[in-house]
Amino acid sequence: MTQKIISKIIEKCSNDYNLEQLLLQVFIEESHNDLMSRYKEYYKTQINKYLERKKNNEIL
Amino acid sequence: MKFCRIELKNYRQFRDLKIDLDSPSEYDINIIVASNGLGKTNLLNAISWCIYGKEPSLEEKYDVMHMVNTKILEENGYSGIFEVSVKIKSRKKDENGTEEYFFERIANYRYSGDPSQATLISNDFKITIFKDGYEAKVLETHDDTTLFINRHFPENIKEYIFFDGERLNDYFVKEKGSAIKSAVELVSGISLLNVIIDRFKIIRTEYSRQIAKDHPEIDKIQKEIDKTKFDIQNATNDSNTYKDQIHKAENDIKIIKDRLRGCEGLSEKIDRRDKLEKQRADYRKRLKEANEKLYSFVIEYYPIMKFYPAFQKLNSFIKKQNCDDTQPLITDNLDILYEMINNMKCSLCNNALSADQIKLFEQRILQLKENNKGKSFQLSKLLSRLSYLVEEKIESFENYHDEKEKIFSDIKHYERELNVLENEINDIQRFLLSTSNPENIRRDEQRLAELTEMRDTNLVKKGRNDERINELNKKLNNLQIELNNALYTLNTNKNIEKAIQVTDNAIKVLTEIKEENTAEIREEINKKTNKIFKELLWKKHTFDRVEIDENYKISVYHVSGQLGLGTMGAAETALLALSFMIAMQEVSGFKSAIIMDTPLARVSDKHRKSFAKSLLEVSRKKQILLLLTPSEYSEEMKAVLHDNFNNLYVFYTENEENTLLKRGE
Repeated sequence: MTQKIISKIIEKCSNDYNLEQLLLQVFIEESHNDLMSRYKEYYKTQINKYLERKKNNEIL
Repeated sequence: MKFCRIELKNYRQFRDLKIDLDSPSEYDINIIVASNGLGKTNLLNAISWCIYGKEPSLEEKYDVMHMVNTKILEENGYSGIFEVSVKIKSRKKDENGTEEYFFERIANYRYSGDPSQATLISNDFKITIFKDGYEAKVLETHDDTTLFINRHFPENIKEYIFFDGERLNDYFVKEKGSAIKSAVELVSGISLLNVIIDRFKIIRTEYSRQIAKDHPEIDKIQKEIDKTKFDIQNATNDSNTYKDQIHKAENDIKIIKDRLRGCEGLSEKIDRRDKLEKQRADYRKRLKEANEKLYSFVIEYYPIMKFYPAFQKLNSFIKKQNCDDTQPLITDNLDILYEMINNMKCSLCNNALSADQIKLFEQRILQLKENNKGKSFQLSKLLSRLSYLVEEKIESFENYHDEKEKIFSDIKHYERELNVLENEINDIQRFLLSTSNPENIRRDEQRLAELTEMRDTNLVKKGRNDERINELNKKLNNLQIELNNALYTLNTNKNIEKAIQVTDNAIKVLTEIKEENTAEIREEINKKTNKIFKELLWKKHTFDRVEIDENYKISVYHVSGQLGLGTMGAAETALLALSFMIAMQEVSGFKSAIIMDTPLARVSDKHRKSFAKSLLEVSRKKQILLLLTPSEYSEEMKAVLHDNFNNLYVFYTENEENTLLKRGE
């Protein structure tokens, strides 16, 4: 089932590689670890990484 | 995942029991045959206790008895610390290698001489995971073990893994649907998607708040959003409470209805009996009074009756005397005249009498004496008195027949009514005696009425509350749109704005995936259940299809198009539960063994052979542990299973407190 969700993330984000990376990172991290209260920090870091990558690509 | 070994120590009637379920043959079907009372259901309870820390079938029916083996308690005078343990070794083999899981629950109880007083000192549960023979991980915290258990044996649907044949009717009640849905969501990753979506929403709210700090209009909308969310949460909590209460009430109603099956209307019968008994007491009292009246009547009328001819004769005689004027005059006046002359005053007005008056009285006396010459004054007096008495008695005797008739009629009426009442009371008593423990049943019926009322009240409350939640959600949605518009139109922090846009996109994509997966999984489970059920079912020509709706409510259709779940026999219902379970496991990705306690309790002999064949087929792919009574393991079952089972064990006992195990033949 995990594989199916990953496939769908890739399929749905075909126009936004950075969003795909963000969602895959978060999904895999959540599947393997319980982030507990750390999740806010983790999510924001991933979003910032996304924004950073976008900034470098100059597209949003 | 299959069970390889189960070890029980000091758990109820199992002082020291080890069951090996390994060394599989082609068919991984394992059978334990045990007479009632030897611990089949307690073996299921032990497994449930080990994995979930609960013993459901004991908790529902009774106060939980002491878990520690009675024999060891007796040997130690109910004094000391006693360890109870259940350990289960299981194995999962797939393309990634072999993993072994060792589930271990150990509880310690302290006794201080009093058999009724036990203190639980510790209750520890851990899961040790071995990967390709090496210890890889030990899960000990509650969160870790719960997560692991829910991914392998979801507690919400444990009935489908630890299958109780006595409770078949519980399997397809509509309340079960939501439990199945959440279990499927949990094991298929949908719950994880929900967690991620919720977390993105929280992050988004935080970003919005940051912007709101600099923009009061956004702050206002944000505060309204927070308040609405708070209201939704509260209303959802209320709805969940109502839902739990409804669910609990319906479960209890189901249990009580099962218990009351065949004893319907008992409460009315008891009420009727009580009413009739009151009426009977009333009629008995009236009959007693009528009999007393009869006694008084006899006492009163007996002498009259006896002397009635004499009275009549006497009455005729007196009347004749009067008619013939042979009756002496009443002489009372004469005595008065004498008295007045002697006293020389009037007895009436007390005035003194003159000499003329005295003379007049003396003349009158002489006149009276002349008239009464030759007649008896004494007889005259007696007859005069008797005349009244006799007439009174004769007159009263004329009512004798009427009064007698009335009293006897009353007595007969009361006796007749009493007879009718006695017959009806006896009929009810016979019915009650044939029913075990009528007072308990009556209590059950009263409880049933209370629970039904409670459920209906909660259904109404939940309905109102759900409407409110819908309205609040609409309001929240509008507020979110309003907030988005405000954010995009105002000159806000562009970086945060971009971050909000990212979270929105993430939420949108994940929600789409979640919805698609939810629908696909249900559709796939539906398809597989149909396929497996059709393969296993022997009455293929009567069955058309199974439908599983979005709330996981299962319906079965006959070829005629009619809904058939309620009309299915026990064997078919058990088979449907089994098919659904296998489909659910295959689709959602968790794979566990299935343990079936007395699955054939309600299955007729003629269907056992077919059912056994179906089980055998299932056991090619999935481990099955069957707990059967000797009568369930009938010739029909043996004919199919005897040459194919993996292990056959028999529970036996040398004393009631210790169940032992031997290999069967």
